[in-house]
Amino acid sequence: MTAHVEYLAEAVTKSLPPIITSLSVAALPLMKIVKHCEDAFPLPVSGQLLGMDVDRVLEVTNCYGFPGAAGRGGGGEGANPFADPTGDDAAACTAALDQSQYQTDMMRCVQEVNIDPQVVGWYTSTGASCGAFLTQQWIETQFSYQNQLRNAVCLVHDPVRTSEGTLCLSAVRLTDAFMGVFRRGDFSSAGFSLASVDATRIITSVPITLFATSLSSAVLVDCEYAPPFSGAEDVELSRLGLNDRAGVEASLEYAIGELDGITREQGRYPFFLRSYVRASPAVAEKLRAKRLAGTDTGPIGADDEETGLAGLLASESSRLESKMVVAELTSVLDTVKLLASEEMGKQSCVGSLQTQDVLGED
Amino acid sequence: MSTDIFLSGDDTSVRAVRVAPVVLLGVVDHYMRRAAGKHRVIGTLLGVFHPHDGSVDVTGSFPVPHDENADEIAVDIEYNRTMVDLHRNVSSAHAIVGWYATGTETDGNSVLIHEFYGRECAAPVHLLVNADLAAVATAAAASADAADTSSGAANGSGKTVAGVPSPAAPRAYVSSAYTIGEVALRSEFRPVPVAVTPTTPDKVAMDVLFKNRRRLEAAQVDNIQAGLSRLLDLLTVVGRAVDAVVAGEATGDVAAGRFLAETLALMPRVDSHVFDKLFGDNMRDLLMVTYLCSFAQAQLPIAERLLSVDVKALKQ
Repeated sequence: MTAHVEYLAEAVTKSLPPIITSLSVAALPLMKIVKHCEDAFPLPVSGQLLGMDVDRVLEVTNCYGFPGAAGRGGGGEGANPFADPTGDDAAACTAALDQSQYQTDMMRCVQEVNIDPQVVGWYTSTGASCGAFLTQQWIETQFSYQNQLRNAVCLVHDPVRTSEGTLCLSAVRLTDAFMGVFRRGDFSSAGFSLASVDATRIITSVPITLFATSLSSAVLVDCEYAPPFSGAEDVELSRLGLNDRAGVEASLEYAIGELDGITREQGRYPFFLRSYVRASPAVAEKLRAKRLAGTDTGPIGADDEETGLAGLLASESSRLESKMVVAELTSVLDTVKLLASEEMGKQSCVGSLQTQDVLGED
Repeated sequence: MSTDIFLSGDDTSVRAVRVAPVVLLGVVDHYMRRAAGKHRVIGTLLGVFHPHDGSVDVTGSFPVPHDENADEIAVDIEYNRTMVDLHRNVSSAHAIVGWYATGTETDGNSVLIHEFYGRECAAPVHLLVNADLAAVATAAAASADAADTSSGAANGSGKTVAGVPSPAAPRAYVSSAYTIGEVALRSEFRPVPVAVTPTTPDKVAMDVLFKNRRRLEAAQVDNIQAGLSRLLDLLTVVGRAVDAVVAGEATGDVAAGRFLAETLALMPRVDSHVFDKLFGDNMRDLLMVTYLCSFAQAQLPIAERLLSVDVKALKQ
């Protein structure tokens, strides 16, 4: 699509930092997202966020789901509304065209009933993947959004942890530094290190607050004390059940899988290193010394002329994937630690119940 | 009236309606965004009809533009059809199950709209949500004057003050047509029981919304702590009630007493050695998990370094 190319070309020339500093989500879109993600579970789904930016706060006032998970299975190409339909795959092409038709129809419809017709971002469900969402496709989609809308955010919702009792919703953006790297398309070590981007600086999160209009608040007040939300049905109490071990185990297993990914990457990377070594004997000397010393690649202290370096790095495989795995692993491990500490809290509670006998007899 | 005895209304087979909270929020949002001069809004309800027990699950909704005056009504059929098609793209499981309107009572136009939805699905449900808070407030004030026994919000959403339901207590109707032979005499809206039924994720999200409304910041880590302190509060209440009964200040409730005894009996009484071992094992497992996670996290920056060449250093 020509428009696609045009905005890419336009965006290369200018860099737009975001204006917003926080995100305000209304009750309706929150519930809609939770519902959509839950209905489609375990398939990951995504959808459009509608709202408006007021000064430095991005207000999300409504949303709608993207087709995809239900019909074609797995979100697929359908998740990216800016997808380039001139791709070689015919099916992807039709999907992208369907998608853009859907977008147009939906936008026309929401406008007719006075819903804010401005796209402010998108939401995605992490499905069954333990809160991990960072994939090549996610980055591409988010890049397209941020390229077109400087304030675009992505709301990431984890339906698994929400069902367990903790609303797990975060708003993320790609950092400006990473946007620059992605725009240049240079995923070599040089590309990342020149922009000072490492795994922890690919995405950044935006603080979320919730708000409800007066009428929605009225509904919430009435619901809060209604039977399905209070008494024995109070989530605050059902959360205390000692059954989260499965959550810890699943997350841990996922983390182990990711660690395997790193190991595979470590197995592949030496192929590049070898050619790297062969092409620059001066570097090779140092490197061999390092290798003998036991440290794998380490920082290389050799001098190298500019042209030779570019040629060397040309054959380097994309570093994006390994950075993504590292970033993802960091967040998954954080989740495991959080789950484990929650579990420990509950354990201690049970422990004190058993030692301080409530019946008063020994 | 007496003739009605000999006529049976059409059996619409809908016996109960369950509404997801998101539908109510959708309705009030639509009402808030209504065009100037509109006194009510309508929309389509999506969901699933269970024929075996005659219940309807309403899981979604969307607004439909309409125009009405005293004796004319126009529903945007085209819009409705487009939206249904669009929703079908996202979730094929949901079909039209009825329609919603805001207000406190049905009128002649409701019948016409209901007839329209009768063509879209077999047994449409009409959900009436009162979004007019002023009416609720007036009615509440009136009834508070009449009887001072109102116990405030604690009685919850089921409370209907002088015929004016709160926004969270919608009413549902199905229509029955009275006929003699082929001649349609009249139709009537028959109320059916309706319940707001949140799923677990719904409840979790609403819990955060409740807290947010009370200006409580709900950090994820503090969830357990909040839950425990809530449990403690409840136990204090129970303890106080039991103490009062023991001291003879209040008469004991047999049912409550039995329930308490049963609850206490539920607590497993484990031998302290066995428990210590179990407790220690579990704790050690969790501590090991935490330790390994921290360890792996510490290794990650090194792994990242190993998976790239340091070009900056190379250039210096």
